[in-house]
Amino acid sequence: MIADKTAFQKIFLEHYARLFQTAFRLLRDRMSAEDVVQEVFAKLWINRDQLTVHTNLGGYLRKSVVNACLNYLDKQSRLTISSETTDFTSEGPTKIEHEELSTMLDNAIGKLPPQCRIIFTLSRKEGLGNQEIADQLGLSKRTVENQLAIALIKLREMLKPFLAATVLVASLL
Amino acid sequence: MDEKIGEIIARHFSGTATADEDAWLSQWRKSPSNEALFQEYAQLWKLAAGHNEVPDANPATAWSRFESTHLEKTTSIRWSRVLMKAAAVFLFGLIAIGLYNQIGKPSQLLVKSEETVTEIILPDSSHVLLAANSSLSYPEIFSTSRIVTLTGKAFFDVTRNEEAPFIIESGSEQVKVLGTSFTVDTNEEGTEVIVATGRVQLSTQNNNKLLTLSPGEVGNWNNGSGSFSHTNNSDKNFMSWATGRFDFESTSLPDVLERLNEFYPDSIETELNVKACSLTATFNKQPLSEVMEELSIALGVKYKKTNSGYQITETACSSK
Repeated sequence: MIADKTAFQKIFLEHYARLFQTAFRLLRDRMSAEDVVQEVFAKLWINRDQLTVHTNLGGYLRKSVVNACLNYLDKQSRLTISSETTDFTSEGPTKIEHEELSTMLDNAIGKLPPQCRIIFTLSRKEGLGNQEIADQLGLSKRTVENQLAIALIKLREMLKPFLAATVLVASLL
Repeated sequence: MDEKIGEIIARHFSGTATADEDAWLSQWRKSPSNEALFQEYAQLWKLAAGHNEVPDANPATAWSRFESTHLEKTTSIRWSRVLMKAAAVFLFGLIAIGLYNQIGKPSQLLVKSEETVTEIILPDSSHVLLAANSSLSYPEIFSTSRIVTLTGKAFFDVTRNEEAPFIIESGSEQVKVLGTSFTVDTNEEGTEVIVATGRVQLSTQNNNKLLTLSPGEVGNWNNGSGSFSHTNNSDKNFMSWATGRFDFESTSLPDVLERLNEFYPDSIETELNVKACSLTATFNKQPLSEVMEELSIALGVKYKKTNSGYQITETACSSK
């Protein structure tokens, strides 16, 4: 039970940085990430009377943040009238720096459908296992793995011209 | 590649593949083309985990924000709830009077957008994207004609029905269509219509002035002169307020900012004279923070964060 403001502040300060990190990785935008975490704490504060002790408050909060991020992305993607599958033209670059490819990959992850994007990011950036991701989002492990496969396939489609190039450069080094 | 193999690869990477699956995968990788594909996936998988910069979180600042928005206002929230209830009773009274006046007519719905673009699906399944600070009123059920009233700006994608013309009323003029998509922008000066697909007819309420528009054309009604005019649409960004896609080509910075501010809830402001700055760039719904970064690279813009968004404090091209 979260009795008062001081206790709540302690919880806030203890968990904020970790939750912000998760939200930022999922949304890749500082302001949106801050807003989502604020929103999650606001809900926690409003429902503080109804909340029973969570054995793992950190886990509960992270789950709330992940779901709030998914809602946020869902809402954003519904505003798109025509979405483009890819923005990368295959002009056949000869050399792509590792750093550039990382940035392109992050942009490409941002173009995945919301659920797919969240699952892939939780797996790769947050280092969660497939079962953990399934538990956070209330999905089956099978669905998570299927979404990871879709993410890989789509990301490769988007970045195809650059992947081969990097392999080539890497082998020349 | 089909999803089945993708799934096995994904399980292999996340360490949840069975011994059978791993064995199958090694067999599959014996073909050089499969192996090349596998290496590309392996590269993506590894690379995705590598790039991990997260800005500093600032818990203390976040706490002050939380405290001031959620904790200190507790009493005023309670009060505003009471006020809202009172307002609801009052509104209910107004609606009841409205209904009483309209007995026999279907009730009228009013949608107001605030800071963000609002999507409305009309009773005939036509789509409307209502720009920020605009409102649309329409009947709960359409009769033989589909009449809506617009204040502000909206994009319409109208379901085709030749039996029931779709009419948008805004001030003294009407926009009448059968089935098409277009943007309507109303303001004090008049009404502007930009057609995306199909044909759109503009007329005055008494039908004595008419203008028919084709795709790519812009029609203007000027309240002052009481007349229509039309030109070709040269503005590639006429839909950017709804789509978040911007295509600027030597566009002057004031125009760029106006367009960006229509889409993003946070605004970019400046007190500098930036008319001499022009930008060539495309944006596709990226976070405003990234847009600001690009402005700083392209135009030497320096900026600071404000409560309402960003303020440009310096550019390489502004005049005093």
